[in-house]
Amino acid sequence: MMNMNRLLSNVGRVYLGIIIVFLYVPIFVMALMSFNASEFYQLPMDYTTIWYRKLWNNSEILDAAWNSLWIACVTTVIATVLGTAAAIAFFRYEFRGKAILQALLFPPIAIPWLITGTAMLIFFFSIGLGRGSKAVILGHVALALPYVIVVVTARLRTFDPQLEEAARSLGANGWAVTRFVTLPWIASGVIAGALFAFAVSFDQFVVSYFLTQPGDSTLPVVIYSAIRKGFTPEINAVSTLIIALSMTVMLLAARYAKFGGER
Amino acid sequence: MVARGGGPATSAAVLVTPAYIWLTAAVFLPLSMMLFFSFLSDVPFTDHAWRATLENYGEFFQKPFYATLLWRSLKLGATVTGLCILIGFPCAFVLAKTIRGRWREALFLLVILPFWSNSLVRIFSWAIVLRGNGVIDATLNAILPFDVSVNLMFTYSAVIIGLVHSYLPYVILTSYLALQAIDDDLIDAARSLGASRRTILWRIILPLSLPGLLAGAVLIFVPVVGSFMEPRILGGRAGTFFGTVIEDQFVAVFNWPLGAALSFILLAVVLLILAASSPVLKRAQ
Amino acid sequence: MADVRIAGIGKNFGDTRALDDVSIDFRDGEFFGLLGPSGSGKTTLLRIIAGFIFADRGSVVIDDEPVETVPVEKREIGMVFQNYVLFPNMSAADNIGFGLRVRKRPAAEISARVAEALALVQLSDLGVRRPHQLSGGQRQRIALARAIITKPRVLLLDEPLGALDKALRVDMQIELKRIQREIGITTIFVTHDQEEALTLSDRIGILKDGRLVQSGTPQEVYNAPVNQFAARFLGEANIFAGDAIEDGLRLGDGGIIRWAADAASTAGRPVIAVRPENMTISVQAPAREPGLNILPARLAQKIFAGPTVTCLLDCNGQTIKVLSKVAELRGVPDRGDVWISWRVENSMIAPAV
Repeated sequence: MMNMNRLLSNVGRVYLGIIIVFLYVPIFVMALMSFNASEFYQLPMDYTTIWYRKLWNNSEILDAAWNSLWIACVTTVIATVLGTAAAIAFFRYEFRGKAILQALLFPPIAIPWLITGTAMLIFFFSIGLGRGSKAVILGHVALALPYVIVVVTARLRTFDPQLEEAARSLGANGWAVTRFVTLPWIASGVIAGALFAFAVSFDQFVVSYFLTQPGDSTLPVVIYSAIRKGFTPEINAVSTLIIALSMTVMLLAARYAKFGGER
Repeated sequence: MVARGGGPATSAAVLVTPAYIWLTAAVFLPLSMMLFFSFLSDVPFTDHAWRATLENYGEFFQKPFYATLLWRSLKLGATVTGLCILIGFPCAFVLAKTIRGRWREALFLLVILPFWSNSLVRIFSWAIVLRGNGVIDATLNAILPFDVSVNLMFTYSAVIIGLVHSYLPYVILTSYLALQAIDDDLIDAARSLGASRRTILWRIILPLSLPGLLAGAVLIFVPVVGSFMEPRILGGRAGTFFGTVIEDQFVAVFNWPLGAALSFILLAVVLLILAASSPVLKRAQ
Repeated sequence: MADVRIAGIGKNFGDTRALDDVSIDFRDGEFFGLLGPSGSGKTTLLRIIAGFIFADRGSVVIDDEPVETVPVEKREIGMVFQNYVLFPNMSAADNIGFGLRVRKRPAAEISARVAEALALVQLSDLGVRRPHQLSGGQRQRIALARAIITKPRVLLLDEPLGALDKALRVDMQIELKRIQREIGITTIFVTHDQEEALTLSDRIGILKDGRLVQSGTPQEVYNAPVNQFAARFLGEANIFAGDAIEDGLRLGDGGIIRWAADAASTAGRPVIAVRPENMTISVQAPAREPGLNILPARLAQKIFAGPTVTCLLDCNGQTIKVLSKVAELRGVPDRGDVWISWRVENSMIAPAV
């Protein structure tokens, strides 16, 4: 019996290893090929950084990257502020319709982004906003909000509500309580939420695809058009960079979200 | 903390309203607008005359082409979901039950991390791997004694592989959380009563982790059914699905009313499936 | 420093009536204990006085100012919680100074007053420590200092010593009383520990099921409980029931016990309650006299508790408890037929309920 258990355990571990390999192989290959001089991904490898240097001169990609970056920053700020405020409200108060409001957070995540994106396109067109950065930000914040609220709410679960009561008993009004007592405690959750919002916005393809205009695009959309035209290793290069960035952001977010529960 | 007088209620409103105004403007109003559009013959605010009509929905029911594609998309969703569950659940099980301590957290993070990177880029990475004369060829040729040329690009299988790779972490995540919540003491108690490994799996572990598993399944099925980017990149001509047709209406053909109608049909189907599985999902919370 | 008057307080949570027509006048500077079992509404009442929740009915007046609709942050009260609830991200000194910081006092004034407060609770060296670096007793004292530094009109304590172990609790009770005397603040505290209530309070109010059963000084409530519940909740009491006769009761077996001649008797079927420490056990029957109640009983068990002994006796089918000093039981065997007796002044009259 013991040997059977040990055997199963080891089989399980090997299986897990295979899956992890499966998850990372394509990414690894793509990153590898970004350093390969061959334009057609021929093996054997011919190491070079020429594609990264070409990237540096590719104004379309650089503009799109800059766009993605500042849109992500704006989205992060707005979504974090709005989302944190809503999460605090849910934590602090009971009011009619609270359950409905909490349920309404799900549609943006549960509806295919294709539908949300096209609906936004229709609506923004109808009200005269059209496409462009403003529309993109509107869309990105809406998609990021539920994530921020969920993350901050999770952190608030470790917060003793009596701390707010104690502050109030000492004369602090709502804002003072939030500023001196609540925010310091949930800071790690807010940071994690902000990082999530950044990742959601920076990596967003579908909604951006419908809301950007040519010439004023975001990085994923530009990459998509490039892919449709045909592959070049420049795409590998920029893709590798993006993946590296997203993974770093998410590692940071995981650190903050996790260590949030330990203080 | 509900009070007489306006105090806390107003504060709550102040904190909550901005987020929900934003959601209304960016999600709920657009969805309503799209519903409105689906009943129009032409795009308003342009030169064309427009009127209310059911033609767009009629398109769907009259041309078998659309229904076939919707069915194809649903099949794709089911296949990808099924594969993800089959591959992902054992993975989550190993993580939750077999691995302990710091390794467990580290490995979990390792599995989840790709999930949070750009899905477009991950699909592209598969395009690199799957094309002919590429990595797979070289690897297989190195292993096998005979020459092989494998070109999986622009096939249905390629789309499946890409989608499974994209969404696998979802199932692993939700299953892991559900499995982790199962008290080890429960399993020990069952063993002390003489239950075999298979019994424990079938009668304790699976039922208890089912809600988490299904939550993951739904979170995969919904996006996959509406996907267009993955089919386009990996599927080529074999990559025509309901999602790509909808995308066409907005990007190529500019028949927005038809696109809106098709979107709503998709939405209706998705909501039906969500509603049907909600009793099980409620238990996941 | 203010008096607090509550009148007709009622509060419902859904269908549950948490408080029903409670009225108390808390006098300026007194230490008032709200005592009662769990679910009696005492914490709800405290929170209504504080302003965390508002009553459905009734008035709350602090220092002649009606505050029923004033939220807690504007009521100028100080509160100490059972779990201390110190702000974990601030030092002890910053915790104490929080109320002053919120009131935008200048920094110099804040540090001076914080130092004063630390000295008052005798923790002058520990200002820079964080809450997790302090012991339970120290945290409670910091919480107290934090509550009083703003010179609130009334100090509210919610089972403040509940989380401390026994020895520490006794020390803290003395501390608490000393500090309250020194600054003279009106203090209302909630506890379910009747010994603590007796030790600390100038006056006590007993609550049961949302109603005020009795209020008065500890001596009043202890020696003249208004009903059986009050008699049993504060201290212990042996209850005797029977048919009412003039100045007493006839018990089921025919024995007669009396209360003091000038005691007011209540209508209906009163019972007589006697405190265990007021009863005496003797092997020989005591000499009969009008001022002494005597009953036969069988001694079943002696429980030794250091300076005192609790004896359990069977008296006509009823279990009686007698608390005696060790010396008083010399010559009394561990078991057997004995006599219990007590003076009629120690018969407390209570309605049957």
